[in-house]
Amino acid sequence: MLRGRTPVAAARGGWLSLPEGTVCLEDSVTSPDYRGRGVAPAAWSQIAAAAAEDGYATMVTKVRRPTRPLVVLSRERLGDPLRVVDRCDETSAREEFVRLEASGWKGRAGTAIGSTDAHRRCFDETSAAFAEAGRLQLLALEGGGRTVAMQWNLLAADAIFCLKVAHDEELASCSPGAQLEVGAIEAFHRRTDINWIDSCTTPDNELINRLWPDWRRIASVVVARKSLVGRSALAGLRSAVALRDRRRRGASSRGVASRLPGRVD
Amino acid sequence: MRETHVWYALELGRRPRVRLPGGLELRRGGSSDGKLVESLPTGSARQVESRLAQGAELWLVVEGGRPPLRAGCSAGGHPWPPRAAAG
Repeated sequence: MLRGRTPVAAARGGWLSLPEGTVCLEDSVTSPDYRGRGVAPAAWSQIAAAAAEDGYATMVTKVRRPTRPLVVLSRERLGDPLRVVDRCDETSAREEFVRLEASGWKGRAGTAIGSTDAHRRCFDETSAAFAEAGRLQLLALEGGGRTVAMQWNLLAADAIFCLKVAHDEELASCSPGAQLEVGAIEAFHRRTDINWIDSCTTPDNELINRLWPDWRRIASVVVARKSLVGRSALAGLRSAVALRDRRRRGASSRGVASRLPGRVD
Repeated sequence: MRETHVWYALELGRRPRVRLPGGLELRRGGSSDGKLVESLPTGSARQVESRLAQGAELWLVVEGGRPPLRAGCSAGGHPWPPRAAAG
């Protein structure tokens, strides 16, 4: 915790004086074994309480975000400032999302929503139902009359689940998907009815790990019926999980799948 | 540096205190905690000693002999590279 001043590269001498009564929480590192248990928010809360007891009125902290190359792109190629809008109520926006996703690698691989009739129906019906319930979020990063990235999210209780993202591959070098993720964070902080977001990505997603500081722990629970079939299924599942874990450890020892992101929690 | 640094300020006042999960305890750290700090993904005993000598303040969450979290570090007389949390 910094009292009086804090290190900042752009400040004269590398240090920035803090206002009277202000402390700075410089950094925080959580052990990977404890991520997803709410350790960091609780610790920060108690550190803040200790600072308040010491007579401090404000705690500041600093986070970093990737520079936005699309800001430059918007001036040079799109002509307009980029903006993030929620087009959840527009049926045409859902069509646009499907087209955008199919125009990229998912379309070429045949894994886009529009590649399969059943998936397309599921997307349309889910979108319509959640939109009617006020629980659809369809974010679009736009500029110059062009949509460069979109994110299809569903809301449940006080959470947002980010299920699908698509971007214009012609602009891929400018990271439109990453820029929309940043916009989604800002949209999240503007809402008061939402307390958390699940990125729905793998734990080793480097982009998401750089953007979102917190993890949550997810567990799968299997309940077997008290029958021979149930017990057999459970035993088979245990063997499959053990085999999977052995394979992961093997991959880990070869340095393939064990790259834990260096991150702050 | 192709990054944007964003400052957040929290008015302390009377805020609800969030409890740590059972068995975990927050305490101030000292120069003898170098090994605990080194068991986390970043940070070194040498760095901790240096910052404590400069007037730093170190916080640790501990569970038995394990440190689930370290936070903080404080000012001194010597500039060092700027730090910022991702996100």
